[in-house]
Amino acid sequence: MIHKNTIQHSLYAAAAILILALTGIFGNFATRTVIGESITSSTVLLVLAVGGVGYFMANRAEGLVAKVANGLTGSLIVSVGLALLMLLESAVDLTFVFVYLKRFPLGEELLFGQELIPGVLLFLAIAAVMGVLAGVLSCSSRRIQNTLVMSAAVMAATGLLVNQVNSVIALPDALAVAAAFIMGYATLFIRITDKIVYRMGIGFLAGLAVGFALGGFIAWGWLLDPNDLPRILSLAVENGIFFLVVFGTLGAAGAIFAVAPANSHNGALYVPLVLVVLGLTNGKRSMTPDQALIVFVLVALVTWFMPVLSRRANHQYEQLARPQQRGTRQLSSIFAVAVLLVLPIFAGQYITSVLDLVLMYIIMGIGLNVMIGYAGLLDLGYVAAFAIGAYTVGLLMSPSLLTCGGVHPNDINPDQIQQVCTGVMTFWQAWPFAILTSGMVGVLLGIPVLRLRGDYLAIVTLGFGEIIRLLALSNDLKPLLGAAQGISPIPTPLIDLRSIGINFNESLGNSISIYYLFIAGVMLAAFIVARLASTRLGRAWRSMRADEDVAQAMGIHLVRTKLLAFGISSAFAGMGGAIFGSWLQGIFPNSFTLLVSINVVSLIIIGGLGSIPGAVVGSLILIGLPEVLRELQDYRLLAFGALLVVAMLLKPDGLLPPPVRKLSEMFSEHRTKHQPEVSHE
Amino acid sequence: MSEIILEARRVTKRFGGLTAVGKMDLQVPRGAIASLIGPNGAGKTTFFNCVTGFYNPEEGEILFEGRPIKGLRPDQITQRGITRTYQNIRLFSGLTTLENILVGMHTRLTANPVESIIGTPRMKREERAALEEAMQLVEFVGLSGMEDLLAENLPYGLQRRLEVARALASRPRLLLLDEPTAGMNPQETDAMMRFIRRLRDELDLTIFLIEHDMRLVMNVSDQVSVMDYGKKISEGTPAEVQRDPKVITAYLGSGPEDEELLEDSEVAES
Repeated sequence: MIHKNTIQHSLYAAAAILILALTGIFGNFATRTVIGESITSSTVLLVLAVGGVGYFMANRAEGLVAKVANGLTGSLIVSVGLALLMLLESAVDLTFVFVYLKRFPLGEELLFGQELIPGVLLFLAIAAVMGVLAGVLSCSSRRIQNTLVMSAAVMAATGLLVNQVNSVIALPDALAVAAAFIMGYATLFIRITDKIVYRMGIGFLAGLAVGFALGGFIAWGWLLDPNDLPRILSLAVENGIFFLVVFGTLGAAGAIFAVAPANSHNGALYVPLVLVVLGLTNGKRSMTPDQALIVFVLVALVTWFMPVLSRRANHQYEQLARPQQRGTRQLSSIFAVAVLLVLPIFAGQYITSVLDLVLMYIIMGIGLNVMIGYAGLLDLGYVAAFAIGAYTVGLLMSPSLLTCGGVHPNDINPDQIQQVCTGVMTFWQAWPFAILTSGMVGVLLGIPVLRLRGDYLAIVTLGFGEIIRLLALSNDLKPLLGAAQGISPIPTPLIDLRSIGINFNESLGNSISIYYLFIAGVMLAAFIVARLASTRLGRAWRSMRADEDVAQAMGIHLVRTKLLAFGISSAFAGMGGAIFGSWLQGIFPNSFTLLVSINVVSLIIIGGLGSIPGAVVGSLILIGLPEVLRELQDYRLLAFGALLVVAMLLKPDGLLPPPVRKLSEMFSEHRTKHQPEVSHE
Repeated sequence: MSEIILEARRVTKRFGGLTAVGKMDLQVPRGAIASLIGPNGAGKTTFFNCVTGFYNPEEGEILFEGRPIKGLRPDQITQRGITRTYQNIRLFSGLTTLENILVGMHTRLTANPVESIIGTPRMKREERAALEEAMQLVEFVGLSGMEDLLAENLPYGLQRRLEVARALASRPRLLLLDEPTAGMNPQETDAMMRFIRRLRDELDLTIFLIEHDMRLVMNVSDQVSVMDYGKKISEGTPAEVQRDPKVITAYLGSGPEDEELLEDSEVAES
């Protein structure tokens, strides 16, 4: 009845958990509360360790009894291990080796405040219950499992992050937004027409109806105090146009996503959910048990009904005529972009600065995809192009040897700097130079390695990355590049439209305004690379990756094609580096380590080689997640590494591998568009 | 028919001490189906590699339509009008049937990267025309309905056809086929035989092929050349070559026992 591997694998798991326990992880995590005062990260970890092992063991068996038996065995083996450790801890002084146990004795956390023997017995009893529950859970349908696990995970994550995301959106705002969206979504039951435009119109009206209803509530002073309205609602009350835009658009978006392909439909439905969850925790320092319950129920409801809704939306989408389908896709991307644009206004400085970093790595990921994903050239020195972009902008935007006619700025009387350094450029002038310089250096670095492939190319490019960093650090180039002190200050980008008669003058000096510059960069990069990938050059790259010799025999000029990959790829790194330099308002050689290259390579592998959405997801996970995991303190890298291993085991091709291009469908679509079928009577 | 499309003059390719191809002379008339046969290791594929620019022969001259092509890169030779298939199928994995064919059209397309990014009408027209032609090629080689399958997921016999379609996409005037029926059963070989004839007749091609299947060689060839140890030992119509004692020796070996085994009396006469 017990699966043959259950005991062995439970022992492995127990060993890993014991090692973690010896580092004091339970006590360390106990300092972070998740729900109320009593449920801490430590509790979550314990449930994950004991219940999780039980669940995995139960999953192998068939039938309720066998599953419960296996689950119980797994949980008990882990908990007995922990119990033995607690007994050992009380009998022998372990702190001379495991120093963290001095600060965080194991018994303090896991005995639930009892004496040793009753505490251990209680602990084992709880573990046994968890094992049985894991067995029962494993026996239930996949849909129930998904719902429970997802809800628990979101609840725990919210509790953990509540401190960082507690000023995003107020609850009334979130509810108003969600209501307008859902009302628009609900118009899918009104089946007058399939035309997207009309559907949107109906959705728009539905959204407005929600808006007017809310306006009525506010006017009568019902539910909400008119003098103390949160951001969105107060703006909507004061400004008619804003009111129309917000509520109408949300309703229209709801109507569109109701007939969108499954993926975008699901993504869109989670947005109001996340908003409401954020609204619930708004202004709180920790999550109370009843909030946790509400979050759990909300997420459970959405997750439970998601498969039905998503199938329905996908079905409706497929029923649409081709032009209508295209319209749906385009409109949903427009709404997605709109969400991206308003995001930083709500997210606040800290989250936006994390997003900025994520966006910068997306630009570089898209760029490096040209090299690795399409052309199949493994480049580990991508940081070189990034550094060159940053340094070019730094040199051109501040007084330097380049901009002061070959005189070192320190040798110039500060009063005269303005007159002497006439070469100083604005960001917008320097940016194209940075992109060009990086691209050209990329081509130059490409020339000597044209004949190298695979590992050899990787090693040489790795060297290039280091050479550029060492050059930046070197004392010989100090007059130009500033050695270890780098270049600072660099002015921030300035949008000044006064010269063309528009009264607009804004410095992109903080993470929120630079966010829009990064978004523009990402869109430009994605657009260019997507266009190239789907046409002649992209096909040449991909065939070169598959078989270089045959590609050449098919008439592809290898040198030109490779150098174009080097140049274009590096240009994007330069674009990212340029924004980076002016965002930080200074450049230091220490920012350009090998780690940057490795991060970019890893993120496109995790996301899926040759996939632009893959670069986005990869960057969110690899760059964004470590920031979020800061809550896990010293265990951040451990959790991060474990997640990566799991991701690669489950999805070896990356999370979003590029789809196969259905060219014949495009062909027939084109056919039907230009040769309309004659209707037969 | 007497015009010579491909001519090799005393082509020699050495690998260290080994002379893989030695002083090879060969002429392929335009519009012919010419075959190159010989035992394993005779240097046939090496000779193909010299013609297509994979190898640069140490000595000799190769002329295509009267112009020397020795020393040119493979892509330049493709541009001149020679393409080939491979003994062990070498399709671009990760690319679909249509994409493989579109890569074959690379030399005939002219859009540069800037045009591609901007999406000029000219480039879009060109892409559409290329796609249309690729669809026609798919139909011609009998791959309809598999346009969007990844090349590596096609059945073996169809991969061979796709390789031919990819080669045809560059609109060559000379097509080199390296063992087009390797690993095929008799039915598939028959189909390939008809297909090769169709290629020549319908597309106005000259075909030069390496093959081990004698039935195919003797059935389709206008001219057969035989290689052994890097040298051409015989040439002529299938019937002439079949009777040549040197050919029989090369394939079956010589020696008293072997000669006894051979029922063909002509061997004994020589």
